[in-house]
Amino acid sequence: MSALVLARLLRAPGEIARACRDDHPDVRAIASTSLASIALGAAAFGGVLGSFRGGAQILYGAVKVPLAVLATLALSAPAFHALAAVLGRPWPMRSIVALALASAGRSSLVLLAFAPALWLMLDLGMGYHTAALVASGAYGVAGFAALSLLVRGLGEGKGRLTTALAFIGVFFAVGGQTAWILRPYLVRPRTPDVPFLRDREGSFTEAVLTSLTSAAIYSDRPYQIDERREIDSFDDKRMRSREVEEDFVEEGGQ
Amino acid sequence: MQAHASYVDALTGDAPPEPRADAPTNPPETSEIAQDKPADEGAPSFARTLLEGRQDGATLRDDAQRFAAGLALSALYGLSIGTRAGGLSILKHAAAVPLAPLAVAGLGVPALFIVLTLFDAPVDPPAAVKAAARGAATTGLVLGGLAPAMALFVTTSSSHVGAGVMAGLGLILAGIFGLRAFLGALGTPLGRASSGVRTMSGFALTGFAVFAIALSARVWWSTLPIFGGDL
Amino acid sequence: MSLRDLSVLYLVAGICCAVAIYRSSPAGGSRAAVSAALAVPLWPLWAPIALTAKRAADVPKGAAGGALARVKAALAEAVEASRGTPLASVLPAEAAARIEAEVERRVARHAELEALLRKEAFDLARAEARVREVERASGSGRALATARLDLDNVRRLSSLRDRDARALEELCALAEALRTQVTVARFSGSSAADIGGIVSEVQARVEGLGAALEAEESLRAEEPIET
Repeated sequence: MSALVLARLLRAPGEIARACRDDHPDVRAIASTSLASIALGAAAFGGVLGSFRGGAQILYGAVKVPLAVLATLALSAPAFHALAAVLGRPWPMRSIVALALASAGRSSLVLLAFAPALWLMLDLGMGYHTAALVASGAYGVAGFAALSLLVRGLGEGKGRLTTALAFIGVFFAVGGQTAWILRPYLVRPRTPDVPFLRDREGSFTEAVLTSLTSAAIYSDRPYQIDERREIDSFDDKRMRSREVEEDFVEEGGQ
Repeated sequence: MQAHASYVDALTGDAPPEPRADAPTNPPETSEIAQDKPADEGAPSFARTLLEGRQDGATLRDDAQRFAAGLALSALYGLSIGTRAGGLSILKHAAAVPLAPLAVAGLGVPALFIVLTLFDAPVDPPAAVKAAARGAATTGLVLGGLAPAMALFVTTSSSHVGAGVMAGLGLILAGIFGLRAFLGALGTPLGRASSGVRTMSGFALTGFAVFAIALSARVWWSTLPIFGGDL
Repeated sequence: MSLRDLSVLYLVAGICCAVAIYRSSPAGGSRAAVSAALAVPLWPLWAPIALTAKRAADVPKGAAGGALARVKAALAEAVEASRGTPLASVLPAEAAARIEAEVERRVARHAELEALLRKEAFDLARAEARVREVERASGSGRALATARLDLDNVRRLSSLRDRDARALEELCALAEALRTQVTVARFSGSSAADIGGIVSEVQARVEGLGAALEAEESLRAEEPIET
């Protein structure tokens, strides 16, 4: 791990991007430093998320978040290479991999920066849903940091935006599925036993589609806390996911 | 340089070497060609060779190799989506995925070439073969790139429909890129034709695109076990 | 197949890549072992870099790097010798730094040219063999013209590389002569005008070297495709 490369990842993403694109001898150092950044930054952030429950979940979070990022990159890198090639950037695989690693390394450093603040907020009693939103916001900011390096690395020329969007699409699809497999990350404190991995329940895509469908079906229904709900398909436990059920109980339902 | 040479002589006592006869005095002609190249940078790569082939003296053998490489990469995708069922299904999927680009190249391209020739389009057989190779190579490259991710999706989707939808999306994406590459490669010589020929050729290419989409969908739907088909 | 089966296959592929990386590592030892170990879980990311990326050691230091060190040393000594004397106005530290920076840039580009010419695509023997092969096969005029153009380009690049190496060597000699001249001028009480000529000579040589190296950029754009 090179301190100079770390500094350049944060201060001079354009230089890093150019070195990756131009197949500079620095590519090895950039890749290894980025891997170390991902391991460190994502582990710290995952550990902080796990601290919401505490106990073993801290270790699980510290292992699973970097694992999710690295697994996503490993599975997406060939797709990045192929899409970049057909969209006008037929670069060697190593250039694309180095660019992807550098982008993820930069975002992991941003997550590392967020970790202490998030830990303090959790320690001061932030609730579950707020914690999920704040974590999502941190991921969003980290994502923008990664995107700034990626777009610079793709260079000027035709197809730059399309290539970036293609990369983002693949990353979200693969990352969503990987994250879905490796959940849970943020676990309620009252959960007695927390598994390393949940049982397989559908897939990320199916969960998104189910949520969208539910939102469309129940969007016109007023949300009531104290009244007993009418028996309908919403109360059919076979239709509800575990998170919805926990929310239902927490909000004063049956 | 003469004055400098004499000063160096005074210091070192040696005469400077004569300029070599084969040393270039003007920028080479190729600099003009270089400026027409696209703005993409980067070292040479397998992807560039696969998609663009050799710029000088490309033979039928080179195009055939690119075509075969594209089919091989398509088979990789088949291997990955076959992992859901495992066993013999892996091989069935690996054999079925390349069938669509093969069918389109074998059935559609010759027919298209005949129609274009009828319209007196400036397309010769080597150009058609090169375009077909580029299309198959592009489709294969995209499928090969998506293969690892697709293996994850199909093995971790609890529902068969979900796995099938993801596999289908990958095939559609690759097919779109392959068709785009083929039409782009064929469009280059057509750009030199008269407006009438270009118009008629445009209709022919549109018809080919529709045919290619329909044929690919038919082949994949009926041969891929993940969609309920069989070889 | 389940995710577990896929993971086993993934790790098997990782082990194969790790062995390849370890065997291809030039140095061996702990660095190679760490690199190989990293490949087991992360081979799709690490293997393309470990197996194919340039190493800093691959960029040849050679004669060009030695020339840079000699020029730097000579200029530093010349500046030191002229400090506090009327000679300092002719060779200020800033001018020496500018010359050094320019020479460093030229040396780096020369090293790139050296690395380029070591690739198979720029091998002179290969280009000559290709022309002979096309001639024997009675290939189309276009194919023969293209092969000859490729050969000409490779010859020109080789010639540029050789010329630049000579120019760098001459520059070293000139810089060392400058150092000697400044030292003699300092102790013999010579005026600034006596060393002004050689300083101009050094600057002109650096500029001349830059012009020759920039001519190779257009040839590099024609770099053949590597498989």
